Amino acid sequence: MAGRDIRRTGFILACLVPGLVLYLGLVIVPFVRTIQLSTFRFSGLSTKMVPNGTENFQKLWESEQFWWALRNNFTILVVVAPILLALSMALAHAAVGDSKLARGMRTVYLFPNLISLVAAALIWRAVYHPTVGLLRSTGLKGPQDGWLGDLNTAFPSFAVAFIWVSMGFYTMLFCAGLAGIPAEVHEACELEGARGWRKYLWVTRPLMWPVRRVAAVHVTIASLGVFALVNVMTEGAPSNRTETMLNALYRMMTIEGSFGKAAAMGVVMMCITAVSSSVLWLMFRKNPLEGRR
Amino acid sequence: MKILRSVLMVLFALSVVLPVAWVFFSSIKSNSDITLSPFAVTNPPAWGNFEKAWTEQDLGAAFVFSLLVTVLTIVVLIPIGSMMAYALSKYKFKGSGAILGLVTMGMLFPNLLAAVPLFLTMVKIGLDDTLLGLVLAYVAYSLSFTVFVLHGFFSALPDELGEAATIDGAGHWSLFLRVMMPLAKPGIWVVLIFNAIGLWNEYNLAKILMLKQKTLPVGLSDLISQQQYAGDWGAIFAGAVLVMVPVLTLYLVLKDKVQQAMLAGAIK
Repeated sequence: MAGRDIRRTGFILACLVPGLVLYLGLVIVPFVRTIQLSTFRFSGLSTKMVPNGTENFQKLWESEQFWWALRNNFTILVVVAPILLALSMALAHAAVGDSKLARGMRTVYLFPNLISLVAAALIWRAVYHPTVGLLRSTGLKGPQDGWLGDLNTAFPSFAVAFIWVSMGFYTMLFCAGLAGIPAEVHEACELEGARGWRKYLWVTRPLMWPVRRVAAVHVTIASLGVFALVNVMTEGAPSNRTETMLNALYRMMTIEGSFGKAAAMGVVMMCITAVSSSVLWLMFRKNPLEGRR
Repeated sequence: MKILRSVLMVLFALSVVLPVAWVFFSSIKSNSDITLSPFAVTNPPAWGNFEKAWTEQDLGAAFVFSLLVTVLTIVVLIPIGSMMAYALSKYKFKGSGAILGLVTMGMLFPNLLAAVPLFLTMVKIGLDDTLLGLVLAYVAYSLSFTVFVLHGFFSALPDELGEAATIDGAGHWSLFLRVMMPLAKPGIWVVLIFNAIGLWNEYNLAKILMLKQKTLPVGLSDLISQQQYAGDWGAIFAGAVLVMVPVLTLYLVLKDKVQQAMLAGAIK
């Protein structure tokens, strides 16, 4: 008996230890150390680490970059993301089904999600560019400094690119949700005369609750974690109008060389991510249909 | 109504295909043609853009390096990830739930949050700017999704299978390798494809960890920021084609598997 227990324990350990060592050493410990490092002043390895209390956070508080980053991520989360999900839901209603056209179109929809975000960012840079731009060639000249160079149009232009990148994914997700609704439900709706908006609000939407929860989680993570798209498209310019939290962290670390401030930015983001996750959990705690059947 | 649906469908498909196709066409056009006649297809094709991107701009080296990193990461990640997922789903012990929670929690937080300490750790263990360092970081940061998905697949396999095999005298390892792994093949496909695409395209970690040897996405992004004033769009578009072609080819060959993989974290 003892030999069997030892073999079992040995097997479990052999399975878990390699992954756990890597995960703890390169993911968990760095995450925790971000908190510690945020209370030091240092720039890279060569410099001495000087404890400076909450100075990094005060510097963040006083910087315009920080507030623009917060503001932009918040706008993405509460304005752009809902638009993205609404558009995807509408498109999913059009693209659901097994017809050859629908299947072919859905194949195409995933393209932006598959290609590198750097390539997607390049595409949109090229679309908006003041001299080679596709939009310029079609006559939509836009502001003098280009769509991405103008203080007023930069963020909305970025938002369009953000929606373009993920809309296919959410459309496919909602298509799968729609396809999962049993045929009897559609028949019952037909009999009762429920159609259009009424059918959506009272039948389809509640039935899609599990898929909508998944979409909400995904879109929240994606909205707070915007980096590559902004980093390649605009680097936060002009005047922080497209700055995001992660891009700010990156710039503080590499361009400014203030590692402590970058870590403080990381801590702020961790808190915001944790709060958003809790809010999501509260919003989607219980399937409203459960227990009502 | 049906026409409206078709129009909507096709419109979005065009908004996806046209810009991508435009990049492909522009990659074989001279710089003056790109600016002056953006929509014309020019003859003869300017293959020189690819030569410039591949050799002069070093994207060839970046391409090979990215391929190497992707393959090596997958080779390390899949065994480690499957072992973890399997042990956590089929062997209940005190703390197994907590470990699973800790490992999958990584999916909630963007990896760059830990950029500063991660970079310092890499320097400390002497693996900054090395292939091995990047591969280890990639494995660590890919474990959350991999374990999450495979845990789902292993949990769905009936426990009786294990009991039957154990009665036949199979040990833990042969049960895992001979019985469970083959049955979890659909799950392995999912994590294989999802990670391969994600790693090939990975930008965040490569951007902060690799200063000398660049991956293809980082090399392309540097080319974009260098060339914005020089205006060599031909080479940039050629670089973009280089990064897109492998993934789109994989998609065309394994369409259903790729679609399943991309939605796997979301739909079981």
